[in-house]
Amino acid sequence: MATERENKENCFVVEAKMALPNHYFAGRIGSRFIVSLRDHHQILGVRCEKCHKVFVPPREYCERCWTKLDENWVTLGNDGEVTNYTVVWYNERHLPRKAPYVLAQIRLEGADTTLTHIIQGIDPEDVHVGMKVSAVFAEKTTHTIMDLDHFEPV
Amino acid sequence: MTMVQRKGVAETEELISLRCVNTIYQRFATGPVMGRWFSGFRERRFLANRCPRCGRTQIPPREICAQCRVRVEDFVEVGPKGEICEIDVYYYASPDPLTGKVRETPYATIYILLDGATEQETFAHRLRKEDIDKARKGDRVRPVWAEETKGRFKDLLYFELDR
Repeated sequence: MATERENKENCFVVEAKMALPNHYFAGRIGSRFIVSLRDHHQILGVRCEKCHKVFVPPREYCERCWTKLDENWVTLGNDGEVTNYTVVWYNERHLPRKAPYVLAQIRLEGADTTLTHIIQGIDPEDVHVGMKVSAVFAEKTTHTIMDLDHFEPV
Repeated sequence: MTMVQRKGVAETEELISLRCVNTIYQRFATGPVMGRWFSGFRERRFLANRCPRCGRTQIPPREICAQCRVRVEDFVEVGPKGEICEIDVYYYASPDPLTGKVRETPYATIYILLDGATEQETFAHRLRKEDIDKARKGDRVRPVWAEETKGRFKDLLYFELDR
Protein backbone atom coordinates (compact mmCIF):
# COMPACT_ATOMS: atom_id res chain seq x y z
CA MET A 1 0.00 0.00 0.00
CA ALA A 2 2.91 2.33 0.75
CA THR A 3 4.11 2.18 -2.83
CA GLU A 4 0.54 2.82 -3.96
CA ARG A 5 0.39 6.01 -1.93
CA GLU A 6 3.61 7.28 -3.37
CA ASN A 7 2.29 6.67 -6.83
CA LYS A 8 1.36 10.16 -7.97
CA GLU A 9 0.06 8.76 -11.23
CA ASN A 10 -3.34 8.22 -9.68
CA CYS A 11 -3.60 11.65 -8.07
CA PHE A 12 -5.76 14.20 -9.84
CA VAL A 13 -6.34 17.84 -9.09
CA VAL A 14 -9.30 19.76 -10.47
CA GLU A 15 -9.25 23.55 -10.48
CA ALA A 16 -12.67 25.09 -10.19
CA LYS A 17 -14.44 28.39 -9.80
CA MET A 18 -17.68 28.59 -7.87
CA ALA A 19 -19.80 31.58 -8.80
CA LEU A 20 -22.84 32.44 -6.76
CA PRO A 21 -25.29 34.89 -8.30
CA ASN A 22 -27.03 36.58 -5.38
CA HIS A 23 -29.85 39.05 -5.01
CA TYR A 24 -29.92 40.73 -1.62
CA PHE A 25 -32.89 42.71 -0.37
CA ALA A 26 -32.27 45.01 2.58
CA GLY A 27 -35.95 44.97 3.57
CA ARG A 28 -38.00 48.05 4.49
CA ILE A 29 -36.25 48.54 7.81
CA GLY A 30 -32.77 47.86 6.46
CA SER A 31 -33.37 50.16 3.49
CA ARG A 32 -34.30 53.07 5.72
CA PHE A 33 -31.21 52.42 7.85
CA ILE A 34 -28.94 52.52 4.79
CA VAL A 35 -30.67 55.53 3.20
CA SER A 36 -30.16 57.44 6.45
CA LEU A 37 -26.45 56.56 6.52
CA ARG A 38 -26.08 57.53 2.91
CA ASP A 39 -28.12 60.75 2.72
CA HIS A 40 -27.96 62.16 6.25
CA HIS A 41 -24.91 60.52 7.85
CA GLN A 42 -27.16 59.48 10.68
CA ILE A 43 -27.24 56.06 12.32
CA LEU A 44 -30.79 54.96 13.11
CA GLY A 45 -32.00 52.47 15.66
CA VAL A 46 -35.43 51.36 16.86
CA ARG A 47 -36.78 51.52 20.41
CA CYS A 48 -38.95 49.00 22.23
CA GLU A 49 -41.02 51.01 24.73
CA LYS A 50 -41.98 47.88 26.62
CA CYS A 51 -38.44 46.56 27.12
CA HIS A 52 -36.78 50.01 27.25
CA LYS A 53 -34.18 48.84 24.73
CA VAL A 54 -32.81 50.55 21.65
CA PHE A 55 -31.67 48.17 18.92
CA VAL A 56 -29.11 48.79 16.19
CA PRO A 57 -29.02 47.71 13.42
CA PRO A 58 -32.77 48.35 13.41
CA ARG A 59 -35.16 45.42 13.18
CA GLU A 60 -38.90 45.15 12.65
CA TYR A 61 -39.74 43.26 15.85
CA CYS A 62 -38.37 43.35 19.39
CA GLU A 63 -36.34 40.17 19.90
CA ARG A 64 -37.59 39.91 23.51
CA CYS A 65 -41.32 40.66 23.40
CA TRP A 66 -42.18 40.61 19.67
CA THR A 67 -43.59 44.12 19.72
CA LYS A 68 -43.55 45.71 16.27
CA LEU A 69 -40.97 48.49 16.26
CA ASP A 70 -41.08 49.87 12.74
CA GLU A 71 -42.51 53.24 13.78
CA ASN A 72 -40.20 53.80 16.78
CA TRP A 73 -37.15 55.21 15.05
CA VAL A 74 -34.41 56.92 17.06
CA THR A 75 -31.33 58.73 15.83
CA LEU A 76 -28.22 57.48 17.61
CA GLY A 77 -24.99 59.34 18.22
CA ASN A 78 -22.16 58.94 15.73
CA ASP A 79 -19.81 58.29 18.64
CA GLY A 80 -19.59 55.12 20.65
CA GLU A 81 -17.50 52.84 22.82
CA VAL A 82 -15.70 49.62 21.88
CA THR A 83 -17.16 46.71 23.85
CA ASN A 84 -15.25 43.96 22.08
CA TYR A 85 -12.94 43.57 19.10
CA THR A 86 -10.86 41.17 17.05
CA VAL A 87 -7.99 41.54 14.60
CA VAL A 88 -8.44 39.93 11.18
CA TRP A 89 -5.11 38.48 10.12
CA TYR A 90 -5.89 36.83 6.79
CA ASN A 91 -6.59 38.20 3.35
CA GLU A 92 -9.51 37.06 1.30
CA ARG A 93 -11.00 38.66 -1.76
CA HIS A 94 -14.42 39.13 -0.23
CA LEU A 95 -13.21 40.83 2.95
CA PRO A 96 -13.64 44.60 3.15
CA ARG A 97 -10.01 45.45 4.04
CA LYS A 98 -6.46 44.15 3.70
CA ALA A 99 -5.19 42.34 6.78
CA PRO A 100 -4.48 43.20 9.48
CA TYR A 101 -7.58 45.20 10.31
CA VAL A 102 -9.78 45.54 13.35
CA LEU A 103 -13.40 44.47 13.59
CA ALA A 104 -15.08 45.77 16.70
CA GLN A 105 -18.42 45.77 18.42
CA ILE A 106 -19.32 49.35 19.14
CA ARG A 107 -22.03 50.58 21.50
CA LEU A 108 -23.25 53.85 20.04
CA GLU A 109 -24.59 56.69 22.19
CA GLY A 110 -28.26 55.95 22.80
CA ALA A 111 -28.11 52.28 21.84
CA ASP A 112 -28.40 49.16 23.98
CA THR A 113 -26.97 46.76 21.43
CA THR A 114 -23.70 46.89 19.55
CA LEU A 115 -22.94 47.51 15.90
CA THR A 116 -20.09 45.50 14.38
CA HIS A 117 -17.80 47.56 12.20
CA ILE A 118 -14.21 48.33 11.19
CA ILE A 119 -11.88 50.49 13.26
CA GLN A 120 -9.18 52.34 11.37
CA GLY A 121 -6.59 54.99 12.11
CA ILE A 122 -4.98 53.08 14.98
CA ASP A 123 -2.42 50.29 15.34
CA PRO A 124 -4.39 47.05 15.97
CA GLU A 125 -2.23 46.50 19.07
CA ASP A 126 -3.48 49.73 20.61
CA VAL A 127 -7.19 48.99 20.33
CA HIS A 128 -8.79 48.34 23.72
CA VAL A 129 -12.20 47.73 25.23
CA GLY A 130 -13.72 50.99 26.45
CA MET A 131 -12.04 53.03 23.71
CA LYS A 132 -14.12 55.93 22.33
CA VAL A 133 -14.62 55.91 18.58
CA SER A 134 -16.45 58.03 16.03
CA ALA A 135 -18.14 57.18 12.73
CA VAL A 136 -16.56 58.15 9.41
CA PHE A 137 -18.91 58.03 6.43
CA ALA A 138 -18.00 56.94 2.92
CA GLU A 139 -17.49 59.56 0.23
CA LYS A 140 -18.95 57.34 -2.45
CA THR A 141 -22.11 55.36 -1.82
CA THR A 142 -22.43 51.61 -2.36
CA HIS A 143 -25.99 51.54 -0.93
CA THR A 144 -24.77 49.14 1.76
CA ILE A 145 -23.68 49.22 5.40
CA MET A 146 -20.31 50.35 3.98
CA ASP A 147 -21.80 53.82 3.44
CA LEU A 148 -20.66 54.00 7.05
CA ASP A 149 -17.04 53.50 6.04
CA HIS A 150 -15.38 52.85 9.41
CA PHE A 151 -14.92 54.12 12.94
CA GLU A 152 -11.84 55.98 14.12
CA PRO A 153 -10.54 56.78 17.60
CA VAL A 154 -11.81 60.08 19.01
CA MET B 1 -32.09 49.85 -6.07
CA THR B 2 -35.83 50.27 -6.42
CA MET B 3 -38.34 52.97 -5.51
CA VAL B 4 -41.68 51.68 -4.33
CA GLN B 5 -44.92 53.55 -3.77
CA ARG B 6 -46.72 51.91 -0.86
CA LYS B 7 -50.37 52.26 -0.01
CA GLY B 8 -51.06 55.05 2.46
CA VAL B 9 -47.51 56.38 2.35
CA ALA B 10 -47.42 59.90 0.98
CA GLU B 11 -43.83 60.03 -0.13
CA THR B 12 -42.06 57.33 -2.11
CA GLU B 13 -40.25 54.79 0.03
CA GLU B 14 -36.86 53.76 -1.24
CA LEU B 15 -36.14 50.04 -0.98
CA ILE B 16 -32.64 48.75 -1.53
CA SER B 17 -31.77 45.52 -3.27
CA LEU B 18 -28.43 44.56 -4.73
CA ARG B 19 -27.38 41.97 -7.25
CA CYS B 20 -23.86 40.61 -7.10
CA VAL B 21 -21.94 37.52 -8.11
CA ASN B 22 -19.54 36.16 -5.50
CA THR B 23 -16.82 33.90 -6.85
CA ILE B 24 -14.76 31.40 -4.93
CA TYR B 25 -11.72 29.70 -6.44
CA GLN B 26 -11.51 26.04 -5.48
CA ARG B 27 -9.14 23.11 -5.90
CA PHE B 28 -10.29 19.53 -5.53
CA ALA B 29 -7.68 16.78 -5.08
CA THR B 30 -8.56 13.09 -5.41
CA GLY B 31 -5.67 11.48 -3.60
CA PRO B 32 -4.39 8.13 -4.91
CA VAL B 33 -7.38 5.92 -4.00
CA MET B 34 -10.21 7.94 -5.45
CA GLY B 35 -7.73 8.84 -8.20
CA ARG B 36 -7.76 5.22 -9.38
CA TRP B 37 -11.37 5.80 -10.37
CA PHE B 38 -10.32 8.66 -12.66
CA SER B 39 -7.29 6.87 -13.99
CA GLY B 40 -9.67 4.08 -15.04
CA PHE B 41 -11.45 6.64 -17.20
CA ARG B 42 -8.45 6.64 -19.55
CA GLU B 43 -9.41 3.13 -20.65
CA ARG B 44 -13.12 3.91 -20.20
CA ARG B 45 -13.38 1.59 -17.21
CA PHE B 46 -15.10 2.03 -13.87
CA LEU B 47 -12.88 0.90 -11.00
CA ALA B 48 -14.62 0.49 -7.67
CA ASN B 49 -12.93 -1.00 -4.63
CA ARG B 50 -14.28 -3.88 -2.60
CA CYS B 51 -14.26 -4.18 1.18
CA PRO B 52 -12.43 -7.36 2.30
CA ARG B 53 -14.83 -7.75 5.21
CA CYS B 54 -18.34 -6.99 3.94
CA GLY B 55 -17.73 -7.33 0.21
CA ARG B 56 -19.39 -3.99 -0.48
CA THR B 57 -18.18 -2.08 -3.55
CA GLN B 58 -17.42 1.60 -3.12
CA ILE B 59 -17.89 4.11 -5.91
CA PRO B 60 -15.87 6.22 -6.03
CA PRO B 61 -13.32 4.11 -4.15
CA ARG B 62 -12.34 5.13 -0.63
CA GLU B 63 -9.26 4.22 1.35
CA ILE B 64 -11.37 2.79 4.19
CA CYS B 65 -14.68 0.93 4.06
CA ALA B 66 -17.17 3.49 5.33
CA GLN B 67 -19.11 0.80 7.21
CA CYS B 68 -16.48 -1.68 8.46
CA ARG B 69 -13.66 0.87 9.01
CA VAL B 70 -11.08 -1.46 7.52
CA ARG B 71 -8.53 -0.64 4.84
CA VAL B 72 -9.71 -1.51 1.33
CA GLU B 73 -7.09 -2.54 -1.20
CA ASP B 74 -8.87 -4.63 -3.86
CA PHE B 75 -10.15 -2.91 -6.94
CA VAL B 76 -12.87 -4.43 -9.11
CA GLU B 77 -14.18 -3.33 -12.45
CA VAL B 78 -17.90 -2.56 -12.53
CA GLY B 79 -20.25 -1.56 -15.33
CA PRO B 80 -19.90 -0.01 -17.82
CA LYS B 81 -23.67 -0.47 -18.12
CA GLY B 82 -26.11 -0.24 -15.28
CA GLU B 83 -29.66 0.30 -14.11
CA ILE B 84 -31.40 3.52 -13.15
CA CYS B 85 -32.47 3.43 -9.50
CA GLU B 86 -33.58 7.03 -9.12
CA ILE B 87 -34.04 10.06 -11.36
CA ASP B 88 -33.90 13.67 -10.16
CA VAL B 89 -34.93 16.32 -12.66
CA TYR B 90 -33.75 19.85 -11.89
CA TYR B 91 -35.62 22.93 -13.03
CA TYR B 92 -33.69 25.36 -10.83
CA ALA B 93 -30.75 26.88 -12.66
CA SER B 94 -28.01 26.28 -10.10
CA PRO B 95 -24.42 27.21 -10.96
CA ASP B 96 -21.99 24.50 -11.99
CA PRO B 97 -19.42 24.36 -9.17
CA LEU B 98 -16.55 23.76 -11.57
CA THR B 99 -17.14 26.70 -13.87
CA GLY B 100 -19.57 29.01 -12.10
CA LYS B 101 -21.75 29.06 -15.19
CA VAL B 102 -25.47 28.66 -14.69
CA ARG B 103 -26.60 25.27 -15.92
CA GLU B 104 -29.05 24.79 -18.72
CA THR B 105 -32.35 23.42 -17.37
CA PRO B 106 -33.96 21.00 -17.11
CA TYR B 107 -31.17 18.55 -16.42
CA ALA B 108 -31.34 15.19 -14.71
CA THR B 109 -29.15 13.31 -12.28
CA ILE B 110 -29.60 9.55 -12.22
CA TYR B 111 -28.47 7.11 -9.55
CA ILE B 112 -27.06 4.13 -11.42
CA LEU B 113 -26.45 0.66 -10.08
CA LEU B 114 -23.53 -0.34 -12.29
CA ASP B 115 -23.31 -4.03 -13.22
CA GLY B 116 -21.24 -5.84 -10.60
CA ALA B 117 -21.72 -3.17 -7.91
CA THR B 118 -23.31 -4.33 -4.69
CA GLU B 119 -26.86 -3.33 -3.87
CA GLN B 120 -27.35 0.22 -2.61
CA GLU B 121 -23.95 1.36 -3.91
CA THR B 122 -25.24 3.52 -6.73
CA PHE B 123 -23.27 6.08 -8.63
CA ALA B 124 -24.76 9.47 -9.55
CA HIS B 125 -24.19 11.09 -12.92
CA ARG B 126 -25.94 13.14 -15.56
CA LEU B 127 -28.55 11.66 -17.91
CA ARG B 128 -28.54 12.60 -21.59
CA LYS B 129 -30.83 15.61 -22.08
CA GLU B 130 -32.92 13.95 -24.80
CA ASP B 131 -33.62 10.95 -22.53
CA ILE B 132 -35.04 12.91 -19.59
CA ASP B 133 -38.69 12.42 -20.57
CA LYS B 134 -38.24 8.81 -21.66
CA ALA B 135 -36.21 7.38 -18.79
CA ARG B 136 -37.86 5.39 -16.00
CA LYS B 137 -36.61 3.64 -12.91
CA GLY B 138 -35.21 0.23 -13.82
CA ASP B 139 -34.15 1.28 -17.34
CA ARG B 140 -30.72 0.24 -18.53
CA VAL B 141 -28.14 2.93 -19.29
CA ARG B 142 -24.68 3.06 -20.85
CA PRO B 143 -21.93 5.67 -20.46
CA VAL B 144 -21.05 8.20 -23.16
CA TRP B 145 -17.40 9.20 -23.16
CA ALA B 146 -15.51 12.20 -24.47
CA GLU B 147 -13.70 11.68 -27.78
CA GLU B 148 -10.41 11.60 -25.97
CA THR B 149 -10.17 10.23 -22.43
CA LYS B 150 -7.25 11.42 -20.34
CA GLY B 151 -8.20 10.36 -16.82
CA ARG B 152 -10.14 13.51 -16.08
CA PHE B 153 -13.41 14.32 -14.40
CA LYS B 154 -14.76 15.48 -17.76
CA ASP B 155 -13.98 12.22 -19.59
CA LEU B 156 -17.38 10.83 -18.68
CA LEU B 157 -19.97 13.05 -20.36
CA TYR B 158 -23.26 11.46 -19.32
CA PHE B 159 -25.29 8.26 -19.45
CA GLU B 160 -27.87 7.44 -22.10
CA LEU B 161 -30.62 4.86 -22.36
CA ASP B 162 -29.32 1.48 -23.53
CA ARG B 163 -32.10 0.52 -25.90
